[in-house]
Amino acid sequence: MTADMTSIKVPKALRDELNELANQAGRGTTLADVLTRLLEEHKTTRLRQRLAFEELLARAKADPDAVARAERITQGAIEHLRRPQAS
Amino acid sequence: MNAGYVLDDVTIGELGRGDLVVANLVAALDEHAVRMSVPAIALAVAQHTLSEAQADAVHGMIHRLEHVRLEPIASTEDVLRLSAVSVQLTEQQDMAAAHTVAVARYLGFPILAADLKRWEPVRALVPWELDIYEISG
Repeated sequence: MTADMTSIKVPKALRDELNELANQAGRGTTLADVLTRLLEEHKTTRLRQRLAFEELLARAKADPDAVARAERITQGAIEHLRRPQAS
Repeated sequence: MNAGYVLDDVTIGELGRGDLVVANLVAALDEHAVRMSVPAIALAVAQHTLSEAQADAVHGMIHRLEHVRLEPIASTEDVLRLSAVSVQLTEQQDMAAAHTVAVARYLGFPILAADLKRWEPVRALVPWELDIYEISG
C-alpha cells in the first residue's frame, strides 16, 4: 500500500483492545482495518437511526390531522416561552 | 433563540412509539430554533418500553435535529444538580423525573410533557414550582 500513512497517539490500553480485535479478525488484519471496520459500523448505526427518525417524520408530515394539531401546540409552546417570567 | 424545553420520559416514549403529533411538534420546534433537551436518564427510562427500532427513531431525532441535544451526567456538578432533586423524591424513586427537573432548573427551560398526570406525584414532593407545558389538543 502506498497511501500516505501517519501515526496517532492512543493510550496503551486502547491500542491493546484494537490489537485484540485485529487478532480475532484473523491473520493479516491491520489496526487500520479494525478502525475502518469500527467506523463503518458506527456510520451504519447512525444512518439506521437517522433513517428511522426520517421515516417517522415523513409519516407524521403526511398526516394532515397530526400536522394541524402539532402546529397549534407549537404556537402555544412558543407563546409559553415568550411570556414574561416571574422573577 | 436561547429558550427551549426539556422533554420528559413520557414524551420521549410517545415519540419512540410513533406518535405523529409529537414527531411533528419536535420538528416544528426545531424549525423555530427552539432548543430541546433530552435528559439521559429520562431517555434511558423511556427506552424500557421501546423496541430497538423505536429507540433508533429517538436517537435519530437527537442526531438529526439541530436544536435537540442529549443532556448527559458528565461532571460532578451534573451529579450534584441531579442529587439535589432526587433527594426530594426518595419517597417515590423517580430518577427520570429527577434528571428532567434538574436539567429544567439548570437550563431555565419548561418541561414538555405528554401527560400532566405523570407529574402530579412529583409536584407534591418537590419544594419548587415546576413549569410544565402539556402537549394537548
